[in-house]
Amino acid sequence: MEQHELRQWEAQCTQEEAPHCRSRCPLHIDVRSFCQKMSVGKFNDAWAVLCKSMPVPQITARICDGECMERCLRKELGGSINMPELEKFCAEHATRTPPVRPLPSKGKHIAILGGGLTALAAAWDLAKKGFSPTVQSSIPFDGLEGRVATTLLTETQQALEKMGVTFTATSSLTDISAAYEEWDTVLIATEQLATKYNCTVTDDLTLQTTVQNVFSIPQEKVLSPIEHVAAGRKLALSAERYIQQVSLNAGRDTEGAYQSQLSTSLTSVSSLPSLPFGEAGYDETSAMLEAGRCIQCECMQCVDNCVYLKEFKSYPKVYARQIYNNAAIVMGTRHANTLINSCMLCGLCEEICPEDFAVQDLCLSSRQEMVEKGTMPPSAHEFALQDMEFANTKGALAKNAPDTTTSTYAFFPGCQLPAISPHLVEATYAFLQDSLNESVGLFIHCCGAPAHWAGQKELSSANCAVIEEEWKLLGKPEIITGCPTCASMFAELLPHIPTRSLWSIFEETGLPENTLKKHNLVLHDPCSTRHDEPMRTHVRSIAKKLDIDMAEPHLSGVLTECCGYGGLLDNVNPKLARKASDNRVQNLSNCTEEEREILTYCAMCRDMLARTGKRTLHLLDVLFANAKSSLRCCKTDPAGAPVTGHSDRRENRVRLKEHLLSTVWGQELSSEKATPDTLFSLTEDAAKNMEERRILKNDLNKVIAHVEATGKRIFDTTSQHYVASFRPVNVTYWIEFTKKDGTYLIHNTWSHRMQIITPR
Amino acid sequence: MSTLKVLSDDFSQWVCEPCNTPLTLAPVDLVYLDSKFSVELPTCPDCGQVLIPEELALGKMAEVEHLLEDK
Repeated sequence: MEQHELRQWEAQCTQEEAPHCRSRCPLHIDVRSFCQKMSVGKFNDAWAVLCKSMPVPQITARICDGECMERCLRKELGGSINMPELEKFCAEHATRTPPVRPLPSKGKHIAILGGGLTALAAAWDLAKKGFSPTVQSSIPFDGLEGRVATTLLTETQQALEKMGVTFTATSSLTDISAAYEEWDTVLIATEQLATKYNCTVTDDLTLQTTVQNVFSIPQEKVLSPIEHVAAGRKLALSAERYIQQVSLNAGRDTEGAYQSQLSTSLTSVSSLPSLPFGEAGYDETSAMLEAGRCIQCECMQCVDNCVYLKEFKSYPKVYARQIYNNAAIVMGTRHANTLINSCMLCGLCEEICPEDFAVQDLCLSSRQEMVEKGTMPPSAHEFALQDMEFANTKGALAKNAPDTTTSTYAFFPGCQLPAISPHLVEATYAFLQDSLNESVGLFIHCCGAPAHWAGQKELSSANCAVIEEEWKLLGKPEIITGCPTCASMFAELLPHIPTRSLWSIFEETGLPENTLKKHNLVLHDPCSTRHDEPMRTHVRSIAKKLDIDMAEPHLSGVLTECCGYGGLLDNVNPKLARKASDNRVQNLSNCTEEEREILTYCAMCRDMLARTGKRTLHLLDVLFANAKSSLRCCKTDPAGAPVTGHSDRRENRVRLKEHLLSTVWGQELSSEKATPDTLFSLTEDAAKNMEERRILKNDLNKVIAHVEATGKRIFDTTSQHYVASFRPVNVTYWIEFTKKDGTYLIHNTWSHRMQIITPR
Repeated sequence: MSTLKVLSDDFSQWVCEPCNTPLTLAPVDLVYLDSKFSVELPTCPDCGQVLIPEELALGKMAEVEHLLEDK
């Protein structure tokens, strides 16, 4: 990622934009923090928030006219937060004012002509920065008598004097054009004096006049009290920049009120009426309640709807910077690797974000960059890519229908349906052959999604080339995709190959005869169908024909959530993937009052959701209720069928291939078995650990074969168990076992990637 | 290269087969992604067979593997 790209990403996330109250306030008071502290009764802390941004806070807090209220998002939801009254209350009730510590005097001479809010504000700001100004006015508190208690005015004057401000009643200046002789800069703080000295402001941004070192409030503008204070602040900043000889106007675009880009969702905000106040203002309870009505505006809409974005405790603007910095590291730890590799690449954030921030694009391109530079952690995607390799060799098949040499259609079930529900592949293929009048081939191969998600561009292209080649050999058939991810991958990576979804075929041919009778289900759209409206429509139409009453959660269709598998999250960060599955199931469960089974149409989604314990069906389970086959593992209850383990997934692929080659194409099975017999049995704990730790039966077989061949093992005299290990390639696998009558019982298994250099 | 001590348990109940010798703690080299460490591990003094207990493999060792992968 280049730096300008980072800037583009950052600009797309508005979370750090100021709330609209703050951007509207000419002083940019942090209203959000102020209200938060007020709402919990921390009045001194709230007062500190005001003092941080307000010149002469004892006065400003009492004359504020609440211009922020125009833009308060509460306005239509019970009324804007009453900031003027809250500020007054806070000023009255705070018992501690943060001390002001002016910088050491810079020895410059600045005259402020005139009194009133503008003069006082300018004096305050300048004094804080070490420019001890002189206020020349016979009425320094002009316009404030009667509005602010005299004692407070006196206290303010004393405070200003303590900060280094001098007050004189008379002005020595007669000719403004000669101001440079006596003063470094002169600030004119009242409209009357601006008229008297005939000052013409030449630049509204800086308030500079025709005389270079003289800055003035504009002659003819009618300013509100808070605008007067803001004008004082502007004059002070111009004076400071003029004296320091730096640009007068650089970076001042958002100095006054401006329009913030912050987007805040109000969908879950209910109306709350504003609190009434008496002649003496709010009492303590009312003030706290009124401040508590503040919505605490922020965006966070993507984060609120994504377990991944929430997990890393920040928001896309920060993530973009972390990812950029990660790529820049030459020596040291790349802390953002897990962040980059944990995105499900589902694209929900882009749909939700008002600025279309696509975290998935950011993460995928970063993964590709990491793979190119050789910085991708080797363990991140290895298991999934090995599984893809297995599916594309031992599990792959591309054949025209028996007795045909070319195919008009080819059923492409993907690699997970054969692994999880091989009997449904068989049933669907048989149905397609029966119902379509044209020749239908079978093409079992991985679409390349794992390689694509892992950022492996070369592997992904190589996979596309193989698919392309096989497709040509089949006679360039129209591909019937059984898996929504395959459909999206074809559309993205092989757009010239014609495809249609299996579900569109059912609409044409009608439904199979023996369907499972289900009435009330809740629908989970796989995240790969987010931009496949036709597929989602076909599925709903099939459900309607099946007389299923279908509930849908709030996040459905184009806003659907990932099951936790997308982007290979389950490989990289299994704990987070589990959270994603749990979250999705919860959202699906919460959308109906009564308990409903989930219906989905992606084999991987089915297992990811079912692993939470929630009863979940694949649409093909419903359509082919009576699929009688030796391949079927769960005969009666597809919604409650156990999740298929990693080893069984591989075995299912091979069994399906062999079964179809034998039953459909009449090929004799080779005597050599594609998967060797298992040499052991497992305790329940060992079986559980094996799945969690992604250890395959085949890996354990290899350890046992090694023990048999070498006799190497270690005996624990306490537990009477043996331990042994073997490292086929990149991972060392361990088993803890007992052996009885020549049979191994495995009690536990674990692995590590670090290699042991045997001492001798 | 100094030897890291990560295990403090007594491993004398573990016996190497086929040597029939109890394991003792000895320095063993572990290698991952161009990094090499010397770690004290239960080892057969005769044939050098090493035991990596489950807690070590899934705990400290996994942590270091992860760290090295992010380097």
